[in-house]
Amino acid sequence: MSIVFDNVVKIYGSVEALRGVSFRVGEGSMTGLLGPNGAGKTTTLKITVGLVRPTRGRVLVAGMDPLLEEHGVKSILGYLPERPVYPGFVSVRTLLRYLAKLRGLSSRYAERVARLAGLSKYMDSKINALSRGYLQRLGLAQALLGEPEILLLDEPTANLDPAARVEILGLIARLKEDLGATVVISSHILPELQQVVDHVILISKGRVVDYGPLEELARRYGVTVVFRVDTPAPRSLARRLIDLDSVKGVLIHDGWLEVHVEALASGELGGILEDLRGSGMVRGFKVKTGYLGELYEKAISSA
Amino acid sequence: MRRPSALRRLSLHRVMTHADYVSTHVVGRSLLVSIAAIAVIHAFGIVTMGVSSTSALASMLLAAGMLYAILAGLAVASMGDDLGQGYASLYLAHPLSRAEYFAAWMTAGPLVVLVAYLLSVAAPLIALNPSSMLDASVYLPVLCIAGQISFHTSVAVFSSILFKDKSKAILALLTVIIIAPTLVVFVGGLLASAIHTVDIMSLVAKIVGVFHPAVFYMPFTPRGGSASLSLAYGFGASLILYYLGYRFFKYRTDI
Repeated sequence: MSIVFDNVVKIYGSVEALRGVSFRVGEGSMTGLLGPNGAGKTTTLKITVGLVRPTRGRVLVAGMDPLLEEHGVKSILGYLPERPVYPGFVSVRTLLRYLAKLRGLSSRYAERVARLAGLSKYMDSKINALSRGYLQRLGLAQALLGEPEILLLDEPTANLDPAARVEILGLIARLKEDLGATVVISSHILPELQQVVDHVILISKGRVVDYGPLEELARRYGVTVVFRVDTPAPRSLARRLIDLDSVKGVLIHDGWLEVHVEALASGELGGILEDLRGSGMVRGFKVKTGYLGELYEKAISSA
Repeated sequence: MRRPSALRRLSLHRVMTHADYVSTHVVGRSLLVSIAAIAVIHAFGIVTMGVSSTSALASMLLAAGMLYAILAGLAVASMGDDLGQGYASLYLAHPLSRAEYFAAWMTAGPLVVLVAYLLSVAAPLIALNPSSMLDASVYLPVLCIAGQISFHTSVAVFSSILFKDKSKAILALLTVIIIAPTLVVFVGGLLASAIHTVDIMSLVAKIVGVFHPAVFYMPFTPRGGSASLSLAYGFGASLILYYLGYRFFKYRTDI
């Protein structure tokens, strides 16, 4: 296991941020840490890095305690903080070179991560001259130094415009492919996460409601995805789709269909609809509701 | 198996890397230039007037010591903003332990100032009159003021960690260096003019000594003061404050 939380409690003054949190993150997984603001996501990640000391409970990162084996944990871990504060008066190159030096890496690695994060053109820019999107890229670049085995990303798309969000998520997915790292992404924006994660930890009010492979959770909570399909022949298309095992229901409207499908088969349905578009039976289609939101709601209500 | 202590796991490479980064980019070159400038002026002052009389030398050392302490305090108070504003979480998410982070700040602030102070005193004295270094009346005040600088910077370190705020750390430092002693002297002066049966000013000197340990030895009581008390209190109190600051940072501070 890459990360183990065992009954972790964190109390800040009179506020109980984590109330006995337990979960496991497997090696090589892409895990979404999902929950609303104030659920305890940032505290969980900070405890994993060793920046925050848990009040009670046990945390292991690759079998090491982050507080007792600081160097061991930090050398295999990359962390993008939620609201990264960078010394604005230094250049991107200076900061990345300094952080690379802390890891015992040559300045060549600073250039490499900058290239991976798409920052090469801004190496000599002062950090306070970077836009939010590029600051987030800088956050990713510093987190990637030393090719960490575990990557913790706290709200990596926060404060970004929609185009930048898509770009950053695509970048994370590509990096995961390239590095083969275990990735934990915290976010309260569920629809965008479902594009990239394969495991989830559902957290609410400082408690883990459920966690595990997305497939297993979607099945357990009977989650569905709703497609809107524009078609010139609603009735004949409905007859055709309803025969599919994964389709749970079809509502016929004037010129379009509302198709309810098991979350895990949504990709398969997308492929079928794409084929039908080629034959002219489908004019277009889109996902109306994402399933992570529904999964979260169902898990919370059954907890 | 027993784990090696945090001190034994300290990497000098990482301490120096972070100390270099802190002194260059966080504390700022201007502060280091100020420290160097004071060192030069201090050395020049000793050369031109300090060696003529012990009391002149003591006053010069005391005044310069206070400036050094303020500069060292200002430098190390930046650690408060580093912790409070979130820069520290960026550095400490990389392989830099809390012990190394703390040691780097101590190197970039107090150690640099203390070395600058001692060099600015020792260099002209050795150049002009090497035998004076063997004279207790010369080196004891120097050491007492070094203890005082160390004590003042430890106040800044401790309050930076406690408050995680540069302004509050500077306020705590100025309270110890200027505000509290001034109030004590002012109130003592008022009492001394009203009460003649008790030696109020002697008591005032002792209370001021709590804030400025060098006063236990100099300059109010250049012959009758206690160098051992001044040294023990100055260095002892600073070691205790450094240790408490480190323990609080290592075991209590969330970043």
